[in-house]
Amino acid sequence: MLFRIDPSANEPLFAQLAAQVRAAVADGSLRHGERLPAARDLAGSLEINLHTVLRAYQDLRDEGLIELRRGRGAVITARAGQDLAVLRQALAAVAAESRRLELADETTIALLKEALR
Amino acid sequence: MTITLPPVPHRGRLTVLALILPLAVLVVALGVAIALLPQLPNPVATHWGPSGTPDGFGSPIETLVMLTVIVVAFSVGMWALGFFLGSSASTRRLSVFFALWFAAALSGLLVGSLVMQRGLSDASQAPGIGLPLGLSFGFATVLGALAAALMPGDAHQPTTTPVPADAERLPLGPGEQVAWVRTVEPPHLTWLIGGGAVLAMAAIGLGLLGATTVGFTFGITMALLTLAFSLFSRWTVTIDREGLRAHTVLPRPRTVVPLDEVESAEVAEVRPLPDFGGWGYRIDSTGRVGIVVRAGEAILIHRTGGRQLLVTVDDATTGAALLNTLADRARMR
Repeated sequence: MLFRIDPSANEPLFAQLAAQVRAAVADGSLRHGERLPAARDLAGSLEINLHTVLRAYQDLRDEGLIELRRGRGAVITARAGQDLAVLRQALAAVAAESRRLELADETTIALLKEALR
Repeated sequence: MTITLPPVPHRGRLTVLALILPLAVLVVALGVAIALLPQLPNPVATHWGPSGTPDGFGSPIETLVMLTVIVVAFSVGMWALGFFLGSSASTRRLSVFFALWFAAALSGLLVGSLVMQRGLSDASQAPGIGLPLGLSFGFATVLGALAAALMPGDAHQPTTTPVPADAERLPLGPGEQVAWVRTVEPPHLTWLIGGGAVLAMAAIGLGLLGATTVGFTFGITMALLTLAFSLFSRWTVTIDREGLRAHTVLPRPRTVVPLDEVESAEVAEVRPLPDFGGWGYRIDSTGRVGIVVRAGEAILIHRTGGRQLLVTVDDATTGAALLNTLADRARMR
C-alpha cells in the first residue's frame, strides 16, 4: 500500500500513518492476513523515526486492526475485515441530515462523539 | 525488422569467465579421463538408478565425446546469452554462473565416476554415485559463484533528462514523504508449499521404513525444492526516495533501481510463458529482465543504458506513477 506523511501538517506523524492503515482496511485494499512492512523498513523508507512507526503499529494493535508477532511483523486481523456497509449507510444518513440542517461539521462530530460515549 | 539490442559492457571479461574458463575445465577433465582409460573397464557405467546401483553402460570414448558436445553447446549458449543480451549485470552474472556450474558439475561428475571404476573388470560392480555427485555439484556451485562475483556489475548511469511529460504521475505535496510497499506471490502459494511438504515427508517416511531408497532420494529432493520455492517465490517491492527495490523473503537476491537511473515507468501486462518462457527471475529475447511471479499487471521501468526491468505486482498503476513522480523530484535536487 501507499504510505504518505506530511511533516508540515498539524497531525502527528504516527497518527497520519495509523489513519492511512485504517482507511486502507476500511476500503478493502488491505485484507485479513496481509502484512504491513517491517517497522524498521518503513521508517527508513519514509525517513522517520522507528519509534514513530512502532507507535502507529501499537495504536493499530490496541484497536484490534493488526496483530504484532515476533518475527512475523504486523498482520491484519480477521476482525479488521468485518463488513462496515451498514455503518457506512448510517453515517451517510448522518452526513445528509447534518447538511440539511446546515450544522457545522464540528457540531456533528461533537454529537457523534457524545453518542459513542 | 531489426531489433536494436542495448549495449553490453564487460564483454571481454564475460568471454573469459563464461566461455574460456568452462572449456578449460572440460579440457582438464578430458585429460584426466584419458589418462585413466587404460585402467577402466569397457563398457563403463554411465548411469545410476535412483537406488544407487549402475543401470546404464557405454564405451568410455563415446561418453567423453557426449560430455564434450553437451558442455561446449551449453557454454556457448550461456556465453551468447550474456554477450548479446547482458546489458544488465544480473544477466551477465547468471550467464557466467551457469556456464561454469554446468561445465564443472558434469565434468567433475564424469571424472569422479571414472575414478571410482578404476581397476574394476565389470562396471556393474561400480559403487554408488552419491559421493562424486555431491562433491562435483558442491565444487561447481562454489566455482560458479566465485566467477560470477568476478563479473563486474553495472556502473552507475545517472540521467538528468526529465521524465516524459505524458508519463503518469501521482500528485504529491512538496513536503510529503512517501513509501509504496507491496508483496506479490504466485496464486495458491500456501497450497503449493503445503503440498510439496506433505509429499516430501511421505516419501522420506516410506524411505525410512525401509521400503526403498528411491523414496528417500525423491523425498529429500522434493523437500529441498519446496524449501527453495518457499524462499524465492514471494517478492516484496518497495518504492521510496531511493528508487525501486525488489527482494524475496531473504535480503538477497534483490534488485535495486536508483531514481536517477529511471528514465520512465509505465504499466505493462506480462504473460509469463510467451514473454519470458516461464516464471521467476527471467531474461527475455531482447535482454529485458523480468521478475515474473504471476501473469498480469507489472511495472515496466525504462532504465538508463537501454535496460528494461519488469516487475509483476498488483496496483502497478500507483507504483509506476509514484516512480515517475519521485524521479522528477530526484532530478530537481
